[in-house]
Amino acid sequence: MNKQKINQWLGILFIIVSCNTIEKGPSESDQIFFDFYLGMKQKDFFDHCTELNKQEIITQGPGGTTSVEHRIKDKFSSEVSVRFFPTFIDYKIFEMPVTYSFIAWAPWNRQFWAENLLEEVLEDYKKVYGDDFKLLNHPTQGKVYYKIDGIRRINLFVKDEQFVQAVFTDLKVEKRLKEEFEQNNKPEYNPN
Amino acid sequence: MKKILNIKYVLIGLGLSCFTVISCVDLEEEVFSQVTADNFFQTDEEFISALGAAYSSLGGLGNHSGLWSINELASDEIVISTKGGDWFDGGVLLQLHQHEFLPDNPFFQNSWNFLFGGINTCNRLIFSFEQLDNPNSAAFIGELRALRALFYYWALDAFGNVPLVTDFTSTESPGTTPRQEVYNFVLSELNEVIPLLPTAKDGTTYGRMTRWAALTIRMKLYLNAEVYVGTPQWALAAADAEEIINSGPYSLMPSYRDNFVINNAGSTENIFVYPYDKVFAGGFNWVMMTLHIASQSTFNLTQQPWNGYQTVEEFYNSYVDPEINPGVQGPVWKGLALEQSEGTIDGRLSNFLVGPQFRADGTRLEDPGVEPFDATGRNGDPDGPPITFMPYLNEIWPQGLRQAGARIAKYEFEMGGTNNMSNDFVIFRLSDVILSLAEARFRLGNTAEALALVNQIRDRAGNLDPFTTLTEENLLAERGREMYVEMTRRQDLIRFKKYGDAWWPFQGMNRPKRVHQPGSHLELFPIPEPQLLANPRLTQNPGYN
Repeated sequence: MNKQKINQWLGILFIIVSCNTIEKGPSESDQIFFDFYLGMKQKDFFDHCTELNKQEIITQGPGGTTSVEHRIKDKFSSEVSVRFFPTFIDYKIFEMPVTYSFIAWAPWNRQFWAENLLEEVLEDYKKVYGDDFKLLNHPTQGKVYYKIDGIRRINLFVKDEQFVQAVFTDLKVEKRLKEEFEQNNKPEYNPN
Repeated sequence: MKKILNIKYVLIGLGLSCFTVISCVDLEEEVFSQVTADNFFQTDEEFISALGAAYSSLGGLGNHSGLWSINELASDEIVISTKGGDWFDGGVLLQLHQHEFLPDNPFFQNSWNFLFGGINTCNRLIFSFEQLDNPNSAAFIGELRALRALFYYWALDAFGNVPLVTDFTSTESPGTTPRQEVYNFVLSELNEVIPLLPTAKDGTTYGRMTRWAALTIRMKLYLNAEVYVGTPQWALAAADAEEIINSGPYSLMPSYRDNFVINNAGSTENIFVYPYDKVFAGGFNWVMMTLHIASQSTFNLTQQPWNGYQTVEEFYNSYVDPEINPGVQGPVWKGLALEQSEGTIDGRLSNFLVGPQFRADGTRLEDPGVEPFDATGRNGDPDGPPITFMPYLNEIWPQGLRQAGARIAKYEFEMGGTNNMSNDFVIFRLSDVILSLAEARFRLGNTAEALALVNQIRDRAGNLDPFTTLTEENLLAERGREMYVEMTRRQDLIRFKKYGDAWWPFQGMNRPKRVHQPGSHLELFPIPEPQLLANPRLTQNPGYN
């Protein structure tokens, strides 16, 4: 094989390898909301939060898994607080827990309890993520709606009287974590 | 030996259950076996597991924008200055520190939801337990009533006139209950349940309501009775304090700092705590709330801190000023902290992170976005890019320096930590009880005994001279140094009639020396506006209409 042909083959090989290693952008089923997506790099998440904060779309939330807050004034029957903060694995978003609660919640304002809000959030989610949510009856959590698209699972349920909890999870990472956990916790073989 | 669940593990279990409702990749609809009152509440472990939901309501104490924040930011301990484009947040933080309380400030709504969320969970569990024909349920109902009394005590302290709701099944919108009636309710509840509560201090009662925790609530109710209902109850406050000190299983830790270390479960002094866990019971975020963004490199934190909460300079100075706090003199950081100067080396200076900051590898920490220095030291960073937490606060708004203010280091920060801390949050501890007894005796005219108690606290603090006389002024200052950021300061300032004082100059703002008089309506926070709109039977606190 002459030198020119070798170079041609190397060129083709380079193109094939390059194509395979180009990082894919987020697919539709990776999306969460506000252009956050499962697998988003931690730094990109913070940069995007800074931008949304400048636009006064989000503010500092209380903390923990609710470090970011967004207020929705006119989508639901009354003003709603949405709080979220992702869990990162390998510096990428693995899971995004989100809580929803009516601003005017109180023990006596039953119309603002989470069981009512759950149905409103579900309707909204159906419009955004598709209407094929399934229902599961959980012994302690009650009604749990869930939906799986590609690697994304969405769970939606009443956390307590005040909060509706949604959780977006990357199933691929979850499966890997589960396998690693099982691998690390295998009982040692003992012939005796 | 019978195994009893520790509340910490119950809280961890609750944390896990939030996100593992469906944890398999291959999902099918499945109805699990139903857990009902008939087949669940059979053993003590099952009761305690259910109680975890009520205790987890306390998890909002250690984070931003709730009850702890409104109490601390409205006091002379803590401020969050606006730092250029950071931390203005619509002015709600400035309003809190300047006592310009508006009903639409979301911090009030968050605090209200924290309080009534806790009350509602207690009501729900009390209702559930009352339906059971189980002799074990009475003790657990007593425990829940004590916890509900704590939430109502905080509610009457912050908002005063609040709805009194005890029936979970009631669907009627309640009206406002006057503060006096809320006070009577809390007192009556505590009087009834205190004899029913456990007295042991061990793993079975850690983080749970005991006789001693409930006595502490009642002691504090009596200590503030004059503010709450107009009638002082110093002798009753002293009696409860004496019982806790003389009969309770608590003693002062040799080291003040050890009450707040990461593994502080072994403290002999902490009476009631909320056991946080960085993985499973998160929400204790002071490491984020107070540290500089660049401090991530000091503690190798997994996330960037938010650079918010700072200590008011005058308050910090009450530790190092030998006139106010006599003791051993040595090098301390003051003012601009360009170099160390001499001051009192109070052992409790561990409460603060102050002075030059370093990365974990020992090199100097720098802020690439440092504010340009001007010769006055007021409008620019006096030492340039290196980060030095200086006690000096140049201004509250709009250009607060990013390195200004001693930072809250009361709870030990973990190297390699996350945004959630694992230290257990101290709600009540013996030291507060001793100082409360001192105050009650002082108010009753027994100054000598009061002085001895205060000096007991000063002796433990380390490097301090005992006081030779006791006055309202040095008693309040001692309480301040000891109880820093333990959510007592606003209450103390009101009781000592100092809450209306302007505690730092508010340069350029033309603030009068005295902002408001004792007894002002500002000693209560306003009822949150969304609550008034949703329930027309509620009435706003006087002065806010």
